Amino acid sequence: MSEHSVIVDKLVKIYGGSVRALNGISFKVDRGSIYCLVGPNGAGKTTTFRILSTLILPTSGDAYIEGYHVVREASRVREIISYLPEEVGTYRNISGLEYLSIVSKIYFKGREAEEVLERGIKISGLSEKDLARPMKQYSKGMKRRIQVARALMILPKVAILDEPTAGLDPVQKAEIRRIIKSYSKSYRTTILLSTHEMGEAEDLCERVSIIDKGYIIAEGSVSDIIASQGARNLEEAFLKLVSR
Amino acid sequence: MLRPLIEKEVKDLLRDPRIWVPILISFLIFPALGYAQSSLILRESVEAFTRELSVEVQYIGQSPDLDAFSSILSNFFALSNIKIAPKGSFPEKADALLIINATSIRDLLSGGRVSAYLVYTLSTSTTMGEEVTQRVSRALTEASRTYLLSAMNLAALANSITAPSITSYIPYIEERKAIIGGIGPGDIAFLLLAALMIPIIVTIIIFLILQYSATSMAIENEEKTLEILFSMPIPRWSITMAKLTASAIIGGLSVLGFVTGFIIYQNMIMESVRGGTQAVNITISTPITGAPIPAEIQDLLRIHLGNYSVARIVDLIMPSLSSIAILAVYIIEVTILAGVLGIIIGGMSSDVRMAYTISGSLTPPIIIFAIAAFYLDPQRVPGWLLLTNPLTGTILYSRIAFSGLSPGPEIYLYLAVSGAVVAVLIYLSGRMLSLETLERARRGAWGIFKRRRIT
Repeated sequence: MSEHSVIVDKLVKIYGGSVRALNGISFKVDRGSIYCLVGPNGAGKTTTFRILSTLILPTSGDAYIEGYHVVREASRVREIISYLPEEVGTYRNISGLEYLSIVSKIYFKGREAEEVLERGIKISGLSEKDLARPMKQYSKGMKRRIQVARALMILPKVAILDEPTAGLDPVQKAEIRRIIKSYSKSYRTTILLSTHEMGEAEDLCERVSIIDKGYIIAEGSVSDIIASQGARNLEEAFLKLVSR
Repeated sequence: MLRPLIEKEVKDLLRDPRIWVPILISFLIFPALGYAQSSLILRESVEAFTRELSVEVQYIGQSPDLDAFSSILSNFFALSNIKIAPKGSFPEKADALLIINATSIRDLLSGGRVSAYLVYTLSTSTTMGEEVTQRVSRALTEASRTYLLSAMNLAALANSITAPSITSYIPYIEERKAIIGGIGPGDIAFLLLAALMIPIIVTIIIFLILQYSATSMAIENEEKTLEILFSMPIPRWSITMAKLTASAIIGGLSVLGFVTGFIIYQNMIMESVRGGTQAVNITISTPITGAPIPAEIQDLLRIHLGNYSVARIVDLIMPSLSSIAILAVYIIEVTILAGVLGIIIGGMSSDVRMAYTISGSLTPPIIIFAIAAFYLDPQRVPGWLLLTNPLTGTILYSRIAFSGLSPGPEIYLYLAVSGAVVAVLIYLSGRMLSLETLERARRGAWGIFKRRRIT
């Protein structure tokens, strides 16, 4: 078996025949690592993740998750991934606990589903009282914690998290990052994460791809990218790269 | 996998005020309306029909019978609690002015009629002054009849002259080889009312389920949770079926609430009308009962009809088990049809408001189309056209079932075709369930079913 959990090969996506969202991007993600796609808004991060999550078709190119082709073997891919879309909402009228329970029962049965639910409750870090409340009463941070818990509790082989901290305040961001880091350490799941915050990438990611206008303009470890640009931090390196 | 999805749909929809408030209102609105109407109808109709009326009577022309006629009219006025007002009272002090052509009284004896004019003040009450016209004209009719019978020395034959024949209606249902005894055409109309309940329920189902499934799908779009659902290992048909099942469950509850409220309303109105008419001593129609048919009539009928059975009208109101089963299949099909349409509308709507706008605009023409089918004669319209789709099929078949008729074995073929129509719609709605197709649909592209997409 390949040591790569995710392989993206010359992926192109053109919307409506004219808008080129991806221009032949390629990258590989090591199994059990946290890999980040970093780029400004509209760079192509979400399009890449939607293709990998089997939600949309690439115009050309290939992508594999754990050896399964994302188009030809979409249903197999869905069994082993978990996707957290950017700024996703929640079902307003069901409680956090009910939501996690329903999702656990979609993936597993009986005792296994109960174990998954227990794990979800733990990952969410929400109190029993909060979990029992309908999700329309949740703050943005609480909603995000429930969605992160939903994505991670099933122990996917690859978790695809699209800007998991977008729109949160600094405290909430730090909390979500802590959950992702601790989860990755505990379960060695491959995590594919996108962000446009350099601090977040430096904090979380083992390897980074910098993406802009549908092209990957740099790839490597955070320290390699900083060094290659002669920058003091990732933000400076990023700015140098995108201003070319 | 389907069960947790249905659980999610039912809980999320049922707890949404946009859903349960209309359910509650549909249950409460009719009884509330019934209470308001019945209390008004009862009070006002009793007051109107029992209060003392004051009528000024004026004769024009001359007649030797005037005194006799006037005396009889005064008696009937007194029986109807009508006081004869002094001259010049109307309109200030009298409710009406009755102008009688005195010369026409004598015309009664040669086949003519008493000619009169009733001038009355139009009131703003719920009866709009109808009690004046009814009570005065009835008293005048009775007085004219009594005067005529006494003038011709026919008082003893009053009943025979007033109602000289009594006909008992015996409808024959050829397909069942059965007759129904002792009912009138008005009672048969009651069957039509029973059959009308099905189209009413069907239109409510269409309206509610279409809206629920559209809302359920639009909520997913609004909250962007559809992306999560599509990325899960869930077959697309499960998503469709979960939404259809949840909409059907909630729609069923709504229909139950609506029909219960409607029945309470009907009872309240009937009670108030009955109470009002009893209070003013007006005879109301007798309830539907099958009067026995004499033996000699039954023997005569056997010569014409061969062996036949005597059915009760209730037997027609309660269709046969096979008819109920067919009707149930049609109702399930129309429920699915409305649900699928809702899913398509909701999928194409960016939010709940847009879904309401589209479903609200589409529902009236669909309902009008369905109701139009109710007024067609099932024996005259082509069954292959109207019974092969669930919308008109349900309504037309309810007419057939409640008429005690049977469209023959071809109904099963029609039912299968309408089932296939629904299956095609489910398939098409399933094809829509992809992120790219829905986004394209929201942008208004027509080729939503043409392009390749991930399933």
